[in-house]
Parts: sequence; C-alpha cells; structure tokens
Amino acid sequence: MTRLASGGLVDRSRRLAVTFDGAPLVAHPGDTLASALVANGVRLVGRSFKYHRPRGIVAAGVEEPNALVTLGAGARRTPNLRATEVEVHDGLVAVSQNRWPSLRRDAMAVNDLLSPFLSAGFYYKTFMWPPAFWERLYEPMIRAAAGLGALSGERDPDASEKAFAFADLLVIGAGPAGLMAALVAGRAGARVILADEDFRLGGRLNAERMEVDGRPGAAWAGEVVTELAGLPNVRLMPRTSVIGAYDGGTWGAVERVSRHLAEPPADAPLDAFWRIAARRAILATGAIERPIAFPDNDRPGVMMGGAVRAYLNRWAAAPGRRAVVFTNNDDGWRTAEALVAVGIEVAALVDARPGATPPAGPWLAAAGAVVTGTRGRRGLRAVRLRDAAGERWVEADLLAVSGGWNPSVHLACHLGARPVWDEGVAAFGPPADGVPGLLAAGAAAGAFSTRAALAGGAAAAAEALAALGLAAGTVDIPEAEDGPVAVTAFWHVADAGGRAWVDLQNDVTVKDVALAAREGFRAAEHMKRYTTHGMATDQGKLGGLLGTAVLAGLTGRSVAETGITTFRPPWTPVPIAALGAGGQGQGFAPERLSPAHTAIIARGAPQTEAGLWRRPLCFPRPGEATVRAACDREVRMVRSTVGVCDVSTLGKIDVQGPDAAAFLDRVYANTISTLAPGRVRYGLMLREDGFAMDDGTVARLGPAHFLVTTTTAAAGEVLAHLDFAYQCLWPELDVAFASVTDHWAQVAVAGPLAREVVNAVIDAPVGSDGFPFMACGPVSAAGVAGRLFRISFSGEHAYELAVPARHGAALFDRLVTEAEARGGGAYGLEALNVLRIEKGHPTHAELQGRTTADDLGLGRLVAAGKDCIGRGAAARPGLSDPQREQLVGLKAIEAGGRLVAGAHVVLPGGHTTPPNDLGYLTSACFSPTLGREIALGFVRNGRARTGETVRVVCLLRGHDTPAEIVAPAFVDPEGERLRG
Amino acid sequence: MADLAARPALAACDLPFSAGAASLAALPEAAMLEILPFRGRAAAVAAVLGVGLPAPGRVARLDGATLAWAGLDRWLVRGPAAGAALAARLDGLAAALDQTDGWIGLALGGGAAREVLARLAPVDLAPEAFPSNAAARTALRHVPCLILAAGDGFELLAPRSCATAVVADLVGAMRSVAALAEIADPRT
Repeated sequence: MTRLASGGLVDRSRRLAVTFDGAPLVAHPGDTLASALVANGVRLVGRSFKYHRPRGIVAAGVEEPNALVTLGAGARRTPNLRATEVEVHDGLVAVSQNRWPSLRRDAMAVNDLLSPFLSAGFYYKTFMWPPAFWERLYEPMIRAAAGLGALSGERDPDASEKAFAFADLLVIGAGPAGLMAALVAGRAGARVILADEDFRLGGRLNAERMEVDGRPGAAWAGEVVTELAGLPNVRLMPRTSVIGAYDGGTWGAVERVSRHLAEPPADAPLDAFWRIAARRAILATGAIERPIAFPDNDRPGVMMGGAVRAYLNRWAAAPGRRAVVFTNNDDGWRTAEALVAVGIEVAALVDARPGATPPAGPWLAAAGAVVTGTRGRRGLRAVRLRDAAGERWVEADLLAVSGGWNPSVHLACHLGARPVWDEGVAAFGPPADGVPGLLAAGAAAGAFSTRAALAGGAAAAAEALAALGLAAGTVDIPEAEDGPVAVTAFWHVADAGGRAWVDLQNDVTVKDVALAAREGFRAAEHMKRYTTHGMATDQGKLGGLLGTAVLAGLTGRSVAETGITTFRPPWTPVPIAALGAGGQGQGFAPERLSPAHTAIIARGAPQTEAGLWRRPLCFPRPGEATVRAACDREVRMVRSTVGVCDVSTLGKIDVQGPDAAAFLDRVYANTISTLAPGRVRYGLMLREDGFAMDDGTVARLGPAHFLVTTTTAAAGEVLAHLDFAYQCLWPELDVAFASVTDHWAQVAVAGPLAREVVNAVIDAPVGSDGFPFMACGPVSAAGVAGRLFRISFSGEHAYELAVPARHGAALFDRLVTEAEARGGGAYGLEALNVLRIEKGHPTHAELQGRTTADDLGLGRLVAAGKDCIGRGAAARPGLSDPQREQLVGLKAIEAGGRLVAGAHVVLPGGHTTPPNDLGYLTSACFSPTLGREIALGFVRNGRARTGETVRVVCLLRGHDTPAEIVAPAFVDPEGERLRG
Repeated sequence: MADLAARPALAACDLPFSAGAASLAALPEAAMLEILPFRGRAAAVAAVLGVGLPAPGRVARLDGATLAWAGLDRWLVRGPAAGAALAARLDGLAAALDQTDGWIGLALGGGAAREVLARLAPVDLAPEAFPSNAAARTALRHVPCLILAAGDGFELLAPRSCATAVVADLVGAMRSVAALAEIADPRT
C-alpha cells in the first residue's frame, strides 16, 4: 500500500470493492480509479497505442493519455474511459486495454523492437502492394495490433437522455476562478449554472495545500459550494463536461449521471446530454501542465508535477518513494516541497533554466540541468541527469515533470478564433471575443496564482453582471498565494539521442515530428496529419503544444508563428449513446396514428410506414398467406363490389378569406377560382423552379372557403410552402389557412357499390343527380356532422366521407361492415397503390422532384390565363422538350414477365448501355385486372412511343422483360366508372 | 342506425400517471377553435372574445375558455365557451376552424414538472422567464406542441395523431426525473 497515513479527501471509514485486471484494490469513496491505482502501488496501467510500451498514470484529470480502461462486462462494457475520471464505486470492475495476453506480458510489445520500421506514416509507405491486400489483410491486421478498447457489439441496455437548461451565466469550471465567479453572480441574483467535470468541485484547490482566506483551499471551496448550493438561483452541475461552444450562446455539455453508482435507480439515465443556453459565460477551465520531451519520457513513474501533488494532497496516495523533479518553472519547485512534506525523498530538483535559484531543501538542486534518459521497463528505476558536472544516473521511481502550464482555451476557440501566444506564461491564451459573451478568468486566462484566479473570477462575474444589467455586490477577494509566474519555455532535451515522446497516446516522438518536417510537412496542421500527433482520444490536451513547439524548433520558427492545431468540439470524448440519447426505437421518430387505427388493428391488418404514419398494408383473410394474395383479392373486390380504405392521413389544409381563391390560383398551376362551391377539382402545385411539387384535390366548401388535400408524405412541405407564399410573397392577400389534418378522420369508399355503402351510413342518401362525380358537401352520418366528397383515386365510383376524428374508428368500422355485407371489405395501402397504378395516377414515386407537369402528361393543367408559382420557370423550352422522359404505362407482354420499380427501359435489340437507355420505371405491380405486371415509368419521348415494344431490364435482379408502352391509364381510360 | 361512437383521443394512454414529484393527466375534454382573423379584423375578433388577443408567447384566460397565441396571425381557444356558437359569432371576421378533435390536452403538475419538460422542450420554463400568462409554441422532443403556464403546472396541447408518442415521451422523462431525485447530491 502506498496510501499515506493521513490526509486526503477520501472517506477511509468505507472500503469499496474495486478490481483492476482481476486484482482487488483498496479504494475509498472520494477516490478515482487512478488514485486507487496509485494508492495501491499499481504503476503499469496500460500499453501504448503503437509500440505497446508499458505505460503508467501521467496526469490526474481529463488530459490523461495512458490510463485508459474498460469498465463493466457484457452488454454494459464501456471502453476507453480515463481512469483519472472514473469515480470508484462498490463493485467496480476495470480492465486494461491494448495488451495480449496480459498487461505484464504483452505479445505485441515486439512492436517496440520494430520501432525503426514503424515511423510516422509507415503504413502509407509499407502496405502499398498489392492494393487488394489493404482492405483484406493490412488494415484488419493493423487495427488488431494498434488500438483501444472494444465495444461489446451487443445492444446497449442503458439509456441516456437529453435535456435543456437556461441561465444568465454559465460558469465553466469550479476551481478558484469559477467558484468566485459563481459566488459573485449568485449573490447578485443572476441565474447561474456552475459546471465542472470533476465530481468534487474546487479544482486545484482540492489538489494543493495552499490556504485561501486562512483556511485550507479545499475547505474554503467546500464552504463556497455549500453557499452556492443554498442559492435557489444557482444550479451546480458536477460531473458535467462542457464539450462545445455553439452559436447564439448555446453550449453542449455531458453529465455523467449514474456511472458513479454501484446500483443506480432503474430509470436513471447513464449520461445526460445538455444543451445550455446562457446569456453570458465564463471560461474558468484552468490550465493543463505540459510535459517535456526527453529520452524515454514515457515510462511508468514519469508523471506531471501537478498530478503528483494532486495524488499526494487530494487522495493521500504516494506515486513513488524516491523522486526526481524536472521543471522549467517555479511551480515545479512546489512539487519537490509537497513530496518532502509527506515524507517522500526527493533525490534531485532539476531546473532547466540556467541561472534559476531553486529553493534549498533535502535534495540536490541543479539549475541549467536536464534529464537525458530514464531506465526501468515496467516502472521507472533511475533517471539520468546532466548538469555542469556532467551526466549521471540517479535512482528514482518517480519523475515529476513540469514544462509549464497551458491555459485550457479550447472552448474559446470552438467558433473558429485562434488562441493568442502569451509570452508572459509561455503559452497560448484565449482569444478575445472568440465566443461572443464568453470571458476567460483564472488560469484559463493565464492568471496562474490562486489570488489572481480568485480576483479574475470575481472581475469576470462583475463584467458579466454589468452586461446582464445586474449589480454586483461588493465581494472581498480572499487572501491567497499570489506568486508571480516564472517560466522559461523549454520543450525538448535536444541532444540526448533516444526516443522522446510528444504524444503519449498516439505514440508520436520527436523523431516523427522531425521526419514530418524533413518531408515538408512543416505546418502544424500538416505535421499533425502526417504523424497523428494530437489525434488520439485526448486530442493533444497534454502534448499538443509540445509537438508543435518541437516542430517550431526544428524549423527555426517561433512557437507563436508555428501556431497550434485547431480546437474543435468535443472538448472530451462523448459517448455516442449520449449524443443520440432518446433516439432509440420510437424515439427516433414519433409514430402518428390515424383516428381509425384501433379499428384497423382490430381487423388484423399488418402495418407499414408512410412518413410518420402507420397505415395498413392489407387486410388478410384466412388462407391468404402473402400480402400479394390479400392485395390481389382487395383490388378485385374494389373493381367488382366495394372497398373501404382509411385516408385520414392525407394532409388537409383549410383555406378561407376574401382572397382565398386568388391565393390558390397563385399556388396551383391550374385555376381554382372558377371552381363552383360544392365542387372538387384536381390540383397540381409547382415549385418555383417549375418542377412538380405535389398534387391533391381542392374542394370549395363555400364562396370563400376551400379545403386543400395533400399527399400524406408532403403535407408538412406543402403547408410550409403556403406559409412562405403567404408571409413572404403576397402578404397583401387576405387569406387564412391552417392544417386540419388531425381534426378530421376520412374514409374512402370505392367500387360499383360505393354509393350503397355510403348511403347506409349517412342520414340523407345521395344520388347521381344531386351528387355527381367531383361533388362535395356537408352530410350527417349517424347524427355526426361530416363532409362528403365524391372523388376517386382508384378509378372507381368512389366517395370520401369525413367526420371529426373521435368518430374515425367507428366510421371505418361501420363502413367496412356495410361493405362486407355487400361482398366488399377493407383494403390497405398495397391495393390502394395497385388501383392507382392501374388508373395511371401519379404519387411521389412520380412527383419525385425531377419531373415537370409536361413530363407527367399534365402540361395542359398549367393554366394560360394566370400566373402561378413555377409558371415562368416551367415555360422554359427545356422543361417540355419532347426528348424529356415522359410518363407512360408499361405492360408486360408475357403473363409472367417481371416489371420492378427502378428497372430501365431499353431499346429492343440493343445492349444495356446508356445510349440505348430510354428511361426507367417508378411504380410497378401485378395488376389482377389485367392479369400481368404493369408499371408507370418515364421514357424519352414516351407519349409518341405508345404501342412500341421495349425491353425492361433490371440488372440487379436479372430481369429482362419485353413490354409494351401504353397510355398511363390501364383501366377505364374514359372515366366511365367514375361517373356512374 | 348505429351511433358512431366517440373514442377519446387519449383512450390508448394509461392516464393519469405519476412518478416522483410529477403527475400527468388528461385535461377535461373541451371544444377548441383555431381563430385566424381576416385582415384588419383582429380588434373585432377581440371584441367578440371579450379580451385582447394575447401577444406572441402569451395566454389569456376567458370566462369558460383559454385563449393562447398559437403562431403568426392565429390563436387557439379551448374550453366550454369555444364551441360552434363562438365560431358563428366570428363568421366574416376570422377563419374559426373547429380543432376540437385535432389536439390532445394534458396537464403536467407537481414540483418536478419543469424538470420533466426540460428533457423534452427547448424552452426556458423558469417562473421568471415563463410567467403565469406565458405560452410557448415549441416541440416536445419531435412533436410540435403548445405549452401553457397553468397555476403551478402546465397545460400541454399536441396533435391528436401523436398522442401515444407524446405521452410515452412524457412518461419516460417523468420516470427519469424521479430517478434523478433519488441520486441528487448537489453538495459533491
């Protein structure tokens, strides 16, 4: 055990059962998996990505590159979690990754010996030949060898959720700056959200021994958190990573809701993906300490200095027994002091700055000195120093490194702004106004002392409050350490040979960066892509700047000039399950149910989707084993007796007002204003570009009252189109319209006996004289006020009867019962489709956005005497060119000939090559009426080809069918049945 | 002749439902009109209604009905007073469309109601942003809806065809929020 005898923010009274690779760890509430590993003396925690080098814990937070673990088992297995962010709970089972058969004995470690052959870009150069081997052999092989943890491949049994939050001020990060900002804004009454990815708020105050206001920093943080928790206008969001800045003051954040619980409540989400809209935001994300590149700087036991202090102070866990500290800044000195304070020997304090005056202590202090190498395969054993006296090995199992601190400015750059080099702290700082309304404070703004962070947080809050029109009360800035930043940029121990890592997670070394520079990839972005530097799951949080700084040195440029690669969301890896939360199953798209749904289901109809709607495919009867069998029977039934079909799903738009007729004249290609009240007309809408948009019927219910129907799928599109026309094109028209789709149930009755069935349900029977084809009017059905339309999609004598939706199921049931009494019955979408193909009516298979009115054979509908949307564009000669593909019918010549939608129409005798291609089929079916397969399709100059025989070829299914081109209406082209 | 039996829009939904500090119930069935005043007739419509037409994002309570802004140049009125008689009085002044069967009405109440809606609707429903006369034309996850402030809770109006989807989403969010209350630990 390497847990210190006392101290730390862990509850030693409780012991949690935690295992790592099967071995039990002593862990307490308050531990992370990483702190438990450190406290249990576990140093080897992973294998590197490419070389399978043994790796240990380097950091204590989100930037950890090495300690990636897989948690859980079975379908709940979750890979690639940073041990530094995993909060332990009873029963936690963690395993290491990227090793086989075990972490200590990893067969792929041979890669490390092959490293001279595995330089950056090696796979582009090595695995070139033969080309077919890449997909079949090389890529699977490389993927298996280099990699991270794997998903279970099973269905995710857990659910995450999405949520929205709103605030005056979002404070990102709850260290000294963030706590102070939240306190100032919270006391002033602003609605504040304080988010921090840690489960314990306080940031570095929990990791250091410095005092704030005369108390330990962690105690001060605890008091502030208590006060904030008591303010009703403040929302604390621990375990919440703000992962992206988006437009308009919107932020994305992921809250780990129940991952830290041994037994979460059954309905608790795993994660919550938050969209936070905040009028102002404060970036108090602190800073991340950066490494220094020196030979073998990747061994287990080489750790960031600030992380060493965090393990010692927050978790009372000793990462080693004998340490060397290597720094280029005064903050590194604190690490030596912190180690000695808990009784750990510090062999040497190595300061890279010539002329630095490290404090005296029980250590060898060396200025102008560097570390030139390390030893210890599975854990650090010795460190090689070079100072004025020369080079020598010093025994140590811990090497604490500090190359300075990088402000965490990522979020401030998410909208495209570039970070700004700050010579004072030798790091990139946040851009001013990189995100509108965002202010940086504390270490994120380059203010590294505790006092400066506290003051900066308060000042940023005051500025935000002023912008919000709120008054900040006077708040005393607590007394705290206020040391100056003393750092001299130092990146790379250049002349020591060996391999020095700049990106631990992707195994990128200084040599790789040098190779990139030699091969001309001198821009930071190019070097990144050539070497994969900064492209691992940590996105270069730890070593990103180090790599570009090394590149700067190698190419003789300044770091400021070389720049750093672009910061993009997300700040930290986000589970896809959180991004897609709520999107499983029905959550992906809500299901819309017709008012007749229950009656349809009661008759055993299998369902299909039409847009969001569920519609019946068919109504199978005993002995009908296939949809086709039921469909054929239903088609014959409609043509011979009567069929009933729910059409409630069609879009219905009520249009009223003095200018309603004028409005409809302008949106429909044909004239509507001449329609008499009580009559219905077919209507075609064009898009502005002259192509067909949607078709349907327009019923004139009164002088200034119309009802427009749309196809089921295009209802929303048509309503939006009308809204655009009303609001933007002709705001002067006095017209009012709204969707009434959901209010009305509507049922079609079609077939020679349709009138009998309708008359059996409505209270005042209709006849052919008083209610001819294309009539409409109010009716009463069993005392319910409804509407009757004599319209037909099937080509038969037909009606559509509408009643308020509550009566939809009963109406459908009644009509079907009446139809059944006459040898008819219900029919579904399949039969509906066959009936309309037989009649040659287009649907959205034909109105697919590339067809014109002329193509559809509806050119005559585009009225000459008036203007309408799309008329001018439709008049372009190219849109009615006879060589365009025109709607035709196709009939298989042989009874068994196959016609399928998507098949191509080819000249007989020619090859199936583009020059012989005449067009394609859009809708096809077996026609029970004609006893063979028929289709609608588009054929070049098709109307003039009526009577020609062509080949219909589907290369995918291997069909090659002779077919005759015919007029689109296969059944009753004269429309006699309609008018009976 | 047999009657055409009326089936309530929420017949397929298991309501009322409650979880933790939130409860969901069907609003009493009531008549509903969508009123779209013709040009220059808004004042005359308001005179018929006896109350000014609410501004965008606002709802007014009439004697026997609730009147909510429901989009550009349109209002929804729901309640016993929103029947055919009112539609007749609006003749010539506005399109007064019977939407009684087009919408479902739900009441969401309890201390956790806001947190439940925060899982589904991208609008700020805090009391200071959404006062007692507020209405929001927004979405409950995917479904267009109208959220009205109603005392300590909310009235939710959504398209009838989406009833089962909306209730399932609400029930799911209520269960989640109830589970979260068991976890909540703001001090950590």
